[in-house]
Amino acid sequence: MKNFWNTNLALSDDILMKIEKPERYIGHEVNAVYKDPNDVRVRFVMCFPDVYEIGMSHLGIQILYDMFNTFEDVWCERVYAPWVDLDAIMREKNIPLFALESQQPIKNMDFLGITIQYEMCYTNILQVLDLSRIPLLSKDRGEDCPIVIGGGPCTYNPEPIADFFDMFYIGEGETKYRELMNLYEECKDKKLGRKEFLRRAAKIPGMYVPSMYEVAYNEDGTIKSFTPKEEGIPATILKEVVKDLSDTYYPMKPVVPYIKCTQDRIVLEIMRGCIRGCRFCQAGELYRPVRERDVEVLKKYALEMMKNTGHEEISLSSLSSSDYSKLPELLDFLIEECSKRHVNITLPSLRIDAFSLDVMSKVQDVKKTSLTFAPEAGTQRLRNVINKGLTFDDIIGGSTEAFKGGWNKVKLYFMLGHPFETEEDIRGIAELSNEIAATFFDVVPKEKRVNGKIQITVSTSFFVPKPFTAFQWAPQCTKDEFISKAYFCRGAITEQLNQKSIKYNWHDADLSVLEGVLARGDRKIAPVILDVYKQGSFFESWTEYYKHERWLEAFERNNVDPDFYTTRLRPDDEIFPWDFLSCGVNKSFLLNEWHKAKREEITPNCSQKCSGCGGAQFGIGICFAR
Amino acid sequence: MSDNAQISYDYRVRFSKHGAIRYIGHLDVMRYFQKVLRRAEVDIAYTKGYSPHQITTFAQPLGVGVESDGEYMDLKLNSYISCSELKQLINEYSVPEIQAISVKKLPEKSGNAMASVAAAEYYIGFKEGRTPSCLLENDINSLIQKFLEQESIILVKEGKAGLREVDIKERIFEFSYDKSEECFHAVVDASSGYNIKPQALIELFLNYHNDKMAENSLMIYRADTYTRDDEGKLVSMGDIGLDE
Ligand code: SF4
Repeated sequence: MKNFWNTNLALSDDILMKIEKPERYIGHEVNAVYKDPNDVRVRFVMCFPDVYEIGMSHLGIQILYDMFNTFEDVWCERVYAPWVDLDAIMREKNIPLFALESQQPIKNMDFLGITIQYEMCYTNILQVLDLSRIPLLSKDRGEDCPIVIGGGPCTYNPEPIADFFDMFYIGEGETKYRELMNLYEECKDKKLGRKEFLRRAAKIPGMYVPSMYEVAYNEDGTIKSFTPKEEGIPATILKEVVKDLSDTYYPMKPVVPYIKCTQDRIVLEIMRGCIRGCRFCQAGELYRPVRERDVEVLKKYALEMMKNTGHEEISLSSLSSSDYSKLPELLDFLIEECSKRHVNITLPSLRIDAFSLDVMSKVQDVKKTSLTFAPEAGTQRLRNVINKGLTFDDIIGGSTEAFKGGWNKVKLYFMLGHPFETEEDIRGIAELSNEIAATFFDVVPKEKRVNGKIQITVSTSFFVPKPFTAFQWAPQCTKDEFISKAYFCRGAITEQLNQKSIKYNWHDADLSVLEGVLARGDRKIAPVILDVYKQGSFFESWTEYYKHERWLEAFERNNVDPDFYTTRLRPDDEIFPWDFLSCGVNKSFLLNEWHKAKREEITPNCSQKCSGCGGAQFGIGICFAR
Repeated sequence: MSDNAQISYDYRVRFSKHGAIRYIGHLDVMRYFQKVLRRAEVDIAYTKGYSPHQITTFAQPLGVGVESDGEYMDLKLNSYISCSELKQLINEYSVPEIQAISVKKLPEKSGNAMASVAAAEYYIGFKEGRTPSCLLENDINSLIQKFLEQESIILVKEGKAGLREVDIKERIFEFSYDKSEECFHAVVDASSGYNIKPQALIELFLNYHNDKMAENSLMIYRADTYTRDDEGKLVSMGDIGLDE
C-alpha cells in the first residue's frame, strides 16, 4: 500500500491531518491548470493575501489566471495566505511557502503577483513574502528572487507599501502583461538581471517601479516633489484600461474549489465603471469610464460557465447593475436557462423599483430576503454634498411597492463622518428609518403582517476619505468623533416612534482610523507596517487577529503621527503621494467636485450629461455613447 | 418525458478517492458530486419545494486522510441511461483522483445506500518508523489470534447520548495480517450506529497487547463497503443491481 500512499504535496500527511481545512493547500481542483515546467519559460504565481476561501472568490484573480495560462510560455499558479495554524507550523518546521498547483516553492518562481484589495491585508503581504523567504524589502532582493508585482485597487496609492514591491501594475490587468512577459523573457535570455528588467519595465505604460522615483518632502511633512530618477521614465503613469470588454479574456473555466468559499458561484461581470460619481466612492472614479459587456456575449459566457463549473448559483457583478442597459433582457434569459438547470440566481443590489421587485420576486423567496437601500446619508442636503442620487421619494416609493409585494425586511446602509455632516443629518438617518417603518404600517393592513412586524436594520460605517475622490482633501473624523456620532445616531433612533422595528449596527472605529492612515499614507508608513508585522500581526481583516495597540506602538516608535494622514484638512494645492498616478479623472475635476460639495451642489451622472472629468481620454465607453 | 409520469431510475455508483483528494471531507465530496453531475448534464431528479436539491445518497462517510476504492453513491435519474454511459460521463467530468469504478442500475426496492451498509473492508499499514514495538517482536497473526479469542471486545463509542460500550467481538468479521504487503486486513461492521473505525480497531488490539501507537501512525485504505444479501451474507454493495 505504500505504493499509492505517497502524494507529491508540499505538506506532510502529519501536517495535513493536524491543520484546519487541509483542502486549502492541496490544489487539484477542477479546472486548475497544470503544465509541464519544462514546457514554459515563465513561472507566475498569483496571490490573494488572505485565506483561501476569500481569495478563491475573487474574480480579478480568476481573470488573470485564465489569461496567463492561455499564454503558452507561461504557467500561472495560485497561492493564498496560510491560515494561522499552518503559518505557525511552517515557521517552526522551516517549510517554504509553495504554489498550489506545482507545490513548489514560491521563491523559485519568476513572478509573484499580489492583488491588493483592501488596506487591512498589508501585513498579510509581508506574511506571504516572509514565508516564501523573499526579503521583505525590494532593495534587499537578489537575482534568486521572483519579481514581486502588485495590482488591484489599493495600488492607486501604492506608497505605504512601495518598499515591499519591485513594481506595480496600475489599472486593468488584461492589457499589458503580454508585453511585460516578452520583456522579461528577453532580459532573461540576455541575462540582464532584475535591475535592468525593472528599469525597462518602468517604460511600459501602466507600470510603476518605485525604486525609479525619488520623493522629496517639505518641512511640514507634505510632499515637495516626486520625480523619476532617470531620463525616459515617465513622470506620471496613466492606468491601463480594457478598450472592449466583449473582446478580451474571461475565465470561462474558473477553478472550482472543494471547500465552500465566500463566492461559491459563477460570477458574471456585466460592466466596469459606474456612471454615478458619488463623491466618497473611490471605485466610481478608478474604473471610469463605464463600459458594458455585450449582452449576447454574457449569455454565451453564462451557459458555458454553468457547463464548465457545475455551480448551482450565478451572480452578476458590477458597481451598479441597475445601470446596465440590457439588464431586463439578460435577466429574462438567465431566469429561463437557470430554472431548467436548477441553478439559482443571486441578484446584486439593484435600485428598488417595479422592475427589480418583479425580478426579485421571481428568483427569491420574498419572505426571506431583504430590501436593500444605501442612502449613505440621512438628509437630502447631505446626499447632495456626497452626490448620492437617491431621494426620499425613491426610498419611500420603492418601499411602498415592496411592502405591497410581501417584503418585510429592509436593510439600510449609511456612513457617518462625511464632510460637512451635522447632527441634523445624523438624526435624518433615524427619521428616515422611522418613516420606512411608518410606511409599512400604512401600506400593509394588520391581518396581512407576518408576525405583525417590519424589521429594519440600519448599519453605519465610518467614512474614510480615499485617493482619487472629491473627498481626498477632506479631514477624517477622529476616533472619538466617530464614536460620539454613532452614539448620537443610536440615541436618535431610540427616540423614534417605531424604534422597536429598527435594529442598529455600527462598525469598529479603530479600524476606520487605521484604514484612513493607510489609504492616504506615503512612503513613511512602510516602516510602521513592517513594525506591526514584526510584532506578529497579520490576518488583521479578521477582528480576532487585529491588535490596535501594536499600531499605536509602531506609530510612536517610528515617529509617525497618524493624525497627519487622517484629520488634517489638506489645502487645495497640496501634492498628494499618489498624484504621479492617473486614473484618467483629472485632479482639477475632483477639486471642483470638492468645492461643489461644500456648496451642496450636485453633478449629473455620465448618462445624463458629461461633466468632462477626463475619462474620455481613453476614447471609449459612455463618454462616446451619446 | 412528461412531468406527471412518476417514473424514475435508480443507480449505484462505486467510486474511488485517492491521492491528495483524500484530504477532502465527506460534505465537500457530496458537494463535489453535485457539481460533477451538473457538469455532466446527467438527468438527475430533484426534490420538490423552494430550494430543490439533487436526490443522491452516500454510503458510510470516509474519514479525512483515508484512501478508498469502495465508496458508494446512489442516484435517482428522471430518464434512462446505460450504466456504462453514466460511468463514462461521471469520469469525464471528475478529477483523476475520484473516478467511478462501476455503475449498476438498482432494482426498485433496494433501500438507500446509507441504510443498507453492513460492513467495510480495510487495509491498514503503519507509516515508516511508526510500527509499535509489539508488532516488531512477535508474530502478528498470533497476536491477532489472542486478541480475537477474548470473551468480549469492548469498544467505547461516542454517540449522541454520550459514551456507550459496545461489544464488537461479533462485529469483527475478518482480521489478519498480510506479511507481504505489510499491512492488516480487516472487515468490520460499518452499519450506522455500529460503525467501527479502523483506527479504533488497531488501538484496541494494541491496548490488549499493552502497546500503543503514536499520533497519526496509520495509512488506511478502504477496499470496499458491504451490504447483506437475502441470506444475510456479506456482499459488495457494488454487486447489487444490474449492469444494464
Ligand atoms: S468624461 Fe464625461 S462621460 Fe466620460 S466618464 Fe467623465 S464625466 Fe463621464
